[in-house]
This record gives sequence, structure tokens and C-alpha cells, in this order.
Amino acid sequence: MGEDELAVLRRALDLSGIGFTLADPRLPDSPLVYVNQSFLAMTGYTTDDVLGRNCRFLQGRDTDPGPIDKLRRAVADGRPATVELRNYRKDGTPFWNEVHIAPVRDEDGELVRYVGVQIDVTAHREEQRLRFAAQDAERRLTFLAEASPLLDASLDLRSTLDSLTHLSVPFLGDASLVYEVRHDEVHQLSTAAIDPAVEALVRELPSAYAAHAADPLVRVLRSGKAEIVSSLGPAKAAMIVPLKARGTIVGVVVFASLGSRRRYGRSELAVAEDLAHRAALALDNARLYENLGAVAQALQVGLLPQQLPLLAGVDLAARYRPAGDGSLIGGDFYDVLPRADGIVDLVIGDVTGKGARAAGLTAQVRHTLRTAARYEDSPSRVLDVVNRTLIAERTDTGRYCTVAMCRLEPNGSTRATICCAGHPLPIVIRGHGTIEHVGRPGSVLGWVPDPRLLDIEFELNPGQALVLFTDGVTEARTTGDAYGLGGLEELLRAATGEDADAIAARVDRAAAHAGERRDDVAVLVARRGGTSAG
Amino acid sequence: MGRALMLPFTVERQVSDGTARIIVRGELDMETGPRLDEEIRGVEAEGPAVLVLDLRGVSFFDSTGLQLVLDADVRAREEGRRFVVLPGDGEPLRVLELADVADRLQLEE
Repeated sequence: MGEDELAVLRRALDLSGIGFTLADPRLPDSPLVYVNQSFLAMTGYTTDDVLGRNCRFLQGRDTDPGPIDKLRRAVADGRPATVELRNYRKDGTPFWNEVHIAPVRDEDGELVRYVGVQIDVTAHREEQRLRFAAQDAERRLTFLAEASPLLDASLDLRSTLDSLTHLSVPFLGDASLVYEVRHDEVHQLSTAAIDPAVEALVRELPSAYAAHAADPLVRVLRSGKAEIVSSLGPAKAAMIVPLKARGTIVGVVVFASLGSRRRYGRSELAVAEDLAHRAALALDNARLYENLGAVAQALQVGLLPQQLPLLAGVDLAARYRPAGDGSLIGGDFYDVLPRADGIVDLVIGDVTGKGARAAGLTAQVRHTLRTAARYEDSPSRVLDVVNRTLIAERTDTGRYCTVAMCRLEPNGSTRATICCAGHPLPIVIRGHGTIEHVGRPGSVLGWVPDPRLLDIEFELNPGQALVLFTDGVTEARTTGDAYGLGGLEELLRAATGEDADAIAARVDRAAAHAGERRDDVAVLVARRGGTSAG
Repeated sequence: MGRALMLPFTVERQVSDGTARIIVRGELDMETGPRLDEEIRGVEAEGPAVLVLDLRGVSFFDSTGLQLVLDADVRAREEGRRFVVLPGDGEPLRVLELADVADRLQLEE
């Protein structure tokens, strides 16, 4: 990032409404060295109060030691972590703080900073706590975790992969191979061999083939558990070890014995797993450092909800898939905003641009939406607030955003209101193979002071699903991509009766299969409970 | 179909009688966007009364292109310049219509 980009990012961070901190782990007790305005506003402290101090001054009487311990372990291992903490403002009032931390390394791999993204989720959390008794941990949607295995390799990733395979031969095997599964195909990413004879054998292996559940590589990728197998292709024995980073399996590494007397046992496997663990972290760091670096990447984590709320009578699911090789922060976002009065707002949007600029703008738009949704009485009024905010803060380059926002009425009412601002019209799956676009086209936000924003009411009956999506889903390439809006409509007709997660997964898969996307793909599905639509 | 079949990105400038015309061909995306941005700002600096942005030969157009068009429109209004967009009937028109900006821009065929 250049100086300009940094200045813009810093200003965007100040406007974002999201607390953002940097700590220096090389100094005693890892003191804070940077905090943004939002952090100060959230905590009530001044810059002088906090700089030079460890961030634990936010803790107090009722701070749960569990998440604190999780953070401490993450820091000790140089890993990122996300927790929710009971924290205290300067005046002693408690608040719930969603804290995400991530290590930042310099070019030499030295840990130089810890970034913290902190969001006051008190209102959100209290509302949730009051209305939903049980939280279902299985419904946690870890979007980045899902996206990670799909991230393509770049030059830096390649060299890290090649280091992994080359340094493990001959110590752990006669050959070493790294694979990933992408779009139901097993892809070979890097190989190394002990001698030309083994290299010739390795070269005969397919570089890609369709994944089958019976394939040991696929089995290890799915289970996340390392295995020793007695034969694998030309190998007499092999260790298959998952590459796990931040709880995600990004691939597998295979250490193979071809013809030699090499035996694999528990101790070899332990070494292999340790190596794979280190490699996965290195790969993850390489990925974090591509293009815009860790700061923007860490911020992205704060831009999508870590977990969709559980709503009585409404089934929710979402998917997010970054564009192209996944190394750039995209501009798509979505959110679900339950209010204390039972109204639920669903939003999806797309900001112009990519990278740090887009990340800062996304943070700001999401925050403005959250705030305005609490008091404005219709989606169009909420979007009007966003429009005015974007125009008021316009600089040389405009900041534009498209949004579709749908408000669901409380107490099982089937009434819903939709407003679209320059965004593709969402689709309702009515049942029996019928679908319907809802909403009227409205203006992109951030351009003119008097945008056309129309609230349109519609019914969302039991068993029917509302599908909100971004342009990336239907991105129609004039160069032969067959999956456009027509493809989406056809796919949704066939999804009648499926639950929200199945519908979201369908859309995501179809977009992935349609080829490399230029744009992000985000989809948010809300389905009313009940089966009357069949 | 592969990328080899895509048109190479080109930006061409024609100036006559106070009207500057920028003709864009190929894929307008994150990679090529900055080249067009530079061209538009360069032309604007020469102070034409009318700036025509010809997108009829653009085969890919997304939020990068939208951003460039809207920015140029805002500057034209601020600086009292006529700004005309020729979107053609392909991707640029689809995106401008989707963003609901088509009827407030000065579009010509």
C-alpha cells in the first residue's frame, strides 16, 4: 500500500464505527501503538490514556476468563482469534466487545504487530439473548473459513508450497506432494522427488482429477485427520496430512515411500503433522500478505457477520465467495439486523472498488445501515441515510454502493418490504417451481442527493424463501459464461421446498462452476418456516 | 471460451471543436480501469465543452466502470461540462440500468 492508500485507510477506519487497534508484541507487555477514533468513542478513553498500555485495561469484574485465555493462547501461537468479551468503558459501564485479533508479520516473518478489530455488539447481543434462548453452535457461518480452501495460489503461496515439498524430501519421504480440492476436483499444487526415477513416477500422476469420497486424499481433507496408508498409487506407503490453518483445511500434503525400506509410524506422523502445521501457518501468512496485506484482510473479517442470528420462524443462510484468486478484498457484504421490536432487516450490498478503500467503505456502510435501521421506519429511509452519508463525505473520488434491503414484520406476519438501490432485484421462491422478482429498481447510493428509492410490499408466506444476491452471482460475461440471471432463475425454480442453507449452497456452487468470477459472489437467503408452499 | 478471444483493451482520444471523445474498447476492469481514469482526467484538464465517453466497444463492465462514469459525471456537473456516454447495447448499458443511473446520465446511441 502506498502512502495515499494508508492515509485513506486510516481515515476510513476512523469513519468506520469499528474499533481498530495495533499492538506491538516486540515491546514489553505488547502495548497499543495505534487506535482509531471509533475505538476511543467506543471505550470513552483518550489516545493518551491508551497508547503504551496493554489492551487488558478494558477488562473488568465480569470479564469471562475463557475468551481471554483463548486470546492469550492465540497470541502465544501467533494465530488470529475472534472472541466476544465483557469489557468496560472508562466510566465503568460494561459493554460487549466482539474482538478479532490477527498477527502481522514483516517480510522476514517476524511478528511485528497484532491488529485488533473491535465492535460494540452490546445492543445486538442483548437483543439476541432476550429473544432466542438457545444458540446453535453448528449454525455458525465461518465465511472466511469456507473461502480459504478455494483461494488460488499466487507467487508467494507457490514458493511457500515448493519449500514445503522440497524440504521434506528425503527426510519424510521419497516424494512429497501438496494437493487441494477445488470445485470437486483434486489439484496437484507442488511436488518434489528424491531422484529422477521417482520424479518420472510423480510426473505421470494426473495434475487434476475428479474427487471421490473413497480417495484417501479426499478422506483426509474431509476428516482433517492425518492417516498412514499402506499404498497410494505407485507408493508402497504414504502419510497423508491435512494442511490446517486457522481451523481450516487448505489442502493435504502427501509424503510417499516408493520402493525404499522406509516405514511410517507414529513418530514420523507426528513430525509430518508438525511440519504441516507450520507450513499451513506460513501459507496462511503468505496469503494474508498478498496484495493489500494483513490489515485489510483482518478488517474483512469484521465486515461480515461471524454468525447469523437465530430467528423464530425464519431460517437464514448466507454464502460469500471472493472474486478471482481471492487475494483482493472485495466489496460485497450482507447483514441481518434484528430489532428489539421483532422487526428483522436483511441487507446485501456491493461497494465500488476493491482493496483497502472498499474495505473501509464497506465497514462504514454496514455501520450506517445498522444504526439507521434501528430508528428509521422503512428501508427506503434507511438507504436514504446511507446515501446522504456517502455524499456528505465525498472526496475527489466518489464512493458508491448498491444495496437491497428487506424488512420482515414481527410475530410471524407474512408482510415484508423491499427497497433496492441500484441493486439486482431479489427473488422470492414461491413454491411449485414459481419464482418472482420483488422490488423496483432504484438509484445507486452515493451519487445524487435525491435518489429514487421505492418501498415495495410483498408477502413472504410459510415455506417461501427470499433470495438476496449480488451482481457477481449473475455476472454475465459476453465471452461465453452461460450462467446469467436466467441461469439463477432456473436454479431457484428447482430449489422449491429446500431449506435456506441448501438454497444458498446451490447458488454458491453454481457460481463457482460457472468459472472464475471477476466480482465477489454473496447470497443471503431467508425462508419462512412452514411447508404450505410445498 | 478463453481469455485469448477477448479484445485487447484500448483507449483512443479524438478532439475537435471543443468536443473530446474517448473511445474505449475491450475489458474495462480493475486492471484496465486506471488507464481510462488517467485518460479521462487528462482530457478534462484540456477543458473541452463536451466530453463523450464511447463505451460501445466495451466487452466487460462492472463496478470499476460504473465508478469511473459516475465520477466523470459529478466532475462534469461541477465544472459545467457536458458529459455524454455512449453505452452501446451490451454490458455497460446493462450495468448502468441495473444501478438505475441510465436515466440521469446523458446517454446517446
